[in-house]
Amino acid sequence: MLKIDKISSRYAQVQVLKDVSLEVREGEVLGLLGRNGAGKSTLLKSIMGLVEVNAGSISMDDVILSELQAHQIPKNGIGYVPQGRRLFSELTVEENLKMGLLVRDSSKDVLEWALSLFPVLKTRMSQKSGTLSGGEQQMVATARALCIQPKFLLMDEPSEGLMPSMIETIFETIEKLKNENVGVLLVEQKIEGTLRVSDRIVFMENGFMREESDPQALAENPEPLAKYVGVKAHAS
Amino acid sequence: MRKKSLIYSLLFQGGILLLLFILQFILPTYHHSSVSKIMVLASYAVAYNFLLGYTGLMSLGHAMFFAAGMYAAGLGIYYLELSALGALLFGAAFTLVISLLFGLFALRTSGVSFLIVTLMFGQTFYLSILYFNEFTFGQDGFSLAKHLGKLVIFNKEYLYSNPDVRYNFALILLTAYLLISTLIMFSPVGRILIAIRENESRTQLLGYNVYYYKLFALVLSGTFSGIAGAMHALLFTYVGTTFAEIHHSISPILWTLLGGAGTVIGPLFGTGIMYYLVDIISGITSNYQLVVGAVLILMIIWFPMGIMGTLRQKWMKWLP
Repeated sequence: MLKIDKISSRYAQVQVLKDVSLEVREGEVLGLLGRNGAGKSTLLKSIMGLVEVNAGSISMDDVILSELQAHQIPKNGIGYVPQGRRLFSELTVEENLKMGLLVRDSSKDVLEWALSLFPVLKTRMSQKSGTLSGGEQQMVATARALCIQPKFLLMDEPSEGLMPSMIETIFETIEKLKNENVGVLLVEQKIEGTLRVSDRIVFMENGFMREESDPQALAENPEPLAKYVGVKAHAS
Repeated sequence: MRKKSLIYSLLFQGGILLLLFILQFILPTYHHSSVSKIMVLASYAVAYNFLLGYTGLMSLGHAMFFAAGMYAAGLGIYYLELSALGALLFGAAFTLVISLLFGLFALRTSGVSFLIVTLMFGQTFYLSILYFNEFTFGQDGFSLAKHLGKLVIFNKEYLYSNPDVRYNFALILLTAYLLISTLIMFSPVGRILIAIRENESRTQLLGYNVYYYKLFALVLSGTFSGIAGAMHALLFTYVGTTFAEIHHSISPILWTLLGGAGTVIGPLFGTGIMYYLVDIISGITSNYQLVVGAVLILMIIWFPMGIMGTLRQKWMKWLP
């Protein structure tokens, strides 16, 4: 279990996260919703050790992640798909994926598994990743994170800037990951897709965790969606 | 694809090295000596390229490593009466220690701070040579001609400064550096160095300890620069402070950028072109730096990624 226990995080002197607690179980998708500036991406960066956690703790099973250096966190089984893909554009698709494999000395079977989720990448292996479309880059970023065999995958707005069919592929992949017992902490702006794939929803506002719900409850009472995300449409 | 690229690049580099081997039988004395010098300096540039071209770290103090190898080998021969091989190994070991110590401090910084720290270390080393002039012979430098033993091949003795010995040793050094560079760049470590160059924090996020990889690149680059310096001392039998001065730190930057930073063979082309550019223009005008500067600006406009970098982008995709 990935456990965030009363953490506060800051950028220099600016306190961004305040007393945030949540848990993600293996094989569960936790959707993190909130307006821009609510602290969602900062929470993911705090878990990854990129933002200083000045109170509370982050742990996975018996490992206290908040005491580790940033490069040690993926080795413990936390994958991260950052906002905007962030590939190594000068490296080919294959080289990008192998960068993921090397982190935990994963076998080629892991690469095959990651590629089975995105079969189109098999035809792009020798292409430089900087020349791929946005959707394909997102697939590479996700596959690369999966190559470290994560127990938990943190995804920061994976659908950003993608065409609808590609967004659907991303959400389908998240559902498949759930079946593979990978826990996913998903930050997204696409509300309907997030509600469809998530088991639970946490709302954030101004650096605080405000409310926890689930898609069924939100379908019956979408008030938190309007309150924290500004969405009036009912969940489908 | 990678295997194909490796074969193509080895063939390409092999072709160039074969051409250099054949040239020694054709070139007139002056150019024979110039090409020997270019090959040693190009080896230094190849070593520098590990840091700038592949890891994205720019050093303004690399002359320190070149001079450290050169002085360790030279002083080792002068005071300890080391053999040529012993001096080369002594130079390599000394530079390995220097670059490791330097890296442990300097890599605590990054960006402009790293640049300044490297400059300061380089200048400190240069000034130390001058300060301990009773031991190092200060600005005058010293000749190894009377102290260096001879190379024995099939019971026949040769001076290390013999043009043929010099040429072939320089060629062996360059060949070794190009081969090692190519193999590293096709290895997982090479990919990680390129990833660090592209984005350090992204590489760290993926689970790599970038500090250790940067330290590896710096120690490798520093030690190889030192070996090139030691080889220079042996083949040209002179050790002097010129090689520790700031301009000798800037030169490999220009050679690398002109030839193509991040390409294995680029520094060789950059060094060769710059060497002959300075050589030819300084024979025409004393204001050669002005002309060389103008030519360099034009070349950067035509080849923004350096000569081999631009060729790789347009045609030679397989070039490492």
